[in-house]
Amino acid sequence: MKPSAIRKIPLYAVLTVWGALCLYPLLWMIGASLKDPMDVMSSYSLLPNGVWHWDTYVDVWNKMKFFHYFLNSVNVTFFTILGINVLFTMAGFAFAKLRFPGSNMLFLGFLGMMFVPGITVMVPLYLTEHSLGLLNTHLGLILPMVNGSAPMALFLFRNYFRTIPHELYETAKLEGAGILRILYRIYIPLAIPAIATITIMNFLGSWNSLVLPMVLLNSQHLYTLPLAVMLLDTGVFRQWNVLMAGSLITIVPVILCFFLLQKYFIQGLTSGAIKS
Amino acid sequence: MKNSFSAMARREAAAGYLLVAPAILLFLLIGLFTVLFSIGLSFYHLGQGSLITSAKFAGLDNFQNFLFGRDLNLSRAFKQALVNNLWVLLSTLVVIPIALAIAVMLQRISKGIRLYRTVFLLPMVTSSVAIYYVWQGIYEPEGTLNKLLAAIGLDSLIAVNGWLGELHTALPALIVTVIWGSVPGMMILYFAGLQTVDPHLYEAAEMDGAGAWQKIYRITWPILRPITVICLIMGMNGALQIFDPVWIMTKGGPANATEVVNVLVYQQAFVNGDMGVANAMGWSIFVLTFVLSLISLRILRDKSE
Repeated sequence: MKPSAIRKIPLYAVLTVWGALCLYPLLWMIGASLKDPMDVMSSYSLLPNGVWHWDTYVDVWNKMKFFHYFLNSVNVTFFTILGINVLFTMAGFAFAKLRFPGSNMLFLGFLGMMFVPGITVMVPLYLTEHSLGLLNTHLGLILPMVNGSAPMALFLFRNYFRTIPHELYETAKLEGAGILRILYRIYIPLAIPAIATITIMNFLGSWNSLVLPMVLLNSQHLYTLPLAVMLLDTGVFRQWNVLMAGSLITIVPVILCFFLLQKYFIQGLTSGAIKS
Repeated sequence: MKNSFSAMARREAAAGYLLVAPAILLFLLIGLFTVLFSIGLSFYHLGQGSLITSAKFAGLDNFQNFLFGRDLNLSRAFKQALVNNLWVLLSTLVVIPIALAIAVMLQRISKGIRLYRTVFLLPMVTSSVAIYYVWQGIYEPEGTLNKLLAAIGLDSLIAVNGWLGELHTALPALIVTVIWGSVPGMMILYFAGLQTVDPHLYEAAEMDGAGAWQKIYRITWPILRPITVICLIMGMNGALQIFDPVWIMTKGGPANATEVVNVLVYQQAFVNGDMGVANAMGWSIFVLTFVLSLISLRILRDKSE
């Protein structure tokens, strides 16, 4: 080995240890979900002793109705992402390309919302939705999630649309194209990377969201997956295998999505921070 | 000519308003209205289960209840919660060096950067519910941590009731989990920042005879400083608004040992049904977060000039 490579061995060692710390909870989760309930706490081994209980997954999926909760989560997440992309590409485009009085103030107003954390307003949100009849509906969960992502989505879309040469807009306008047509035919197709970033960020946020559904949904049949996992927590005599099988069902879609769109996820995490 | 131009400008402005209208409507309904409503609500009494119609003006009662001991138990719980939030906040000072160290090391290796990066981001991606139940399992009386201590002969350190079950170990155990979960977000920021440094700069500095410290101070730190400010503010927000790990792992117990403000707010509002007080508590922690963020921004900005 080259001397420089040897010098790097300690680096790899430390990074591998940290990597193991990051992976261990996941591996524990997989192992526990496949073990016999009595076996979960009794051994070190991450692998089951003897039989692998795949049947736990079948039970959680069918008897514990995780299929149903899974569809609820898909429903909420899908419409949240759709709403965010439709609403904020439109508004972001307007802020980036169109001149209208007050546009700067409106934009700053939206960004200012960033400073009010969702959790502070959960009580009034509950009361507002109660009086609007939105409480305990999926729509009532989707609307605040869409609204909550306004600062980041607007910021990203506006900046992205600004990087697209203005001549494109002028030419299309001279050719008599309407503004919506310009937006959907020219700008949206060019903004796919920004849309991918917003989609993956909000997929994670919405799928994993805990407080909002806890506050806004009362009926079990409307529960999203995180709430369903909490239903499996039976207190002192936990059935760890069942709890972990439910947890794993919950995280598989996010992890898959993360693997597929990792590049855009990292862009989303760093874009705002590095520039400012 | 001028007329047709202004007509076009007017059409453009109209289109602009139309395009932002849906976002603004949603914002007015769910955002602004709720925030204003919420501020007002802090000064009203709302009884058990009752809603806006039966609200009574209460002046500063709600704030006095939990801030100045009019409701003794609640005051005590709030103080404890605030102290615990501040402990979590202090842990940011541990998270930042770990995140920076990992980012620097990751930057230095030549093979497997992408693989390591993917693995390091997993704690951030995984649903909080799932991951915190696992940590609870690790801290159980029969869990991995106690078993590990027994195996290496440190039986005296074993937490018999589980690490989250004993008064003096619950908060530290919770904070370790929070540190573990906060590293990825900051690590990726540092890593992205380090990658923007042009390696030729280091070579040029070396040729000019700059030492290792000089290189760090002159080239690396100017890029890392603003990232550190962002990390501090992120850490502050995260610490003062923490909810998920506490709710899943301890619900504030045992005996308020891990109580934090937002868990108290949730319990007060949706378990005890006192929405006025809960709302006032929520705003107090928000104001604290906001002021601390502004102060740290100001201090760190001034230093740079």
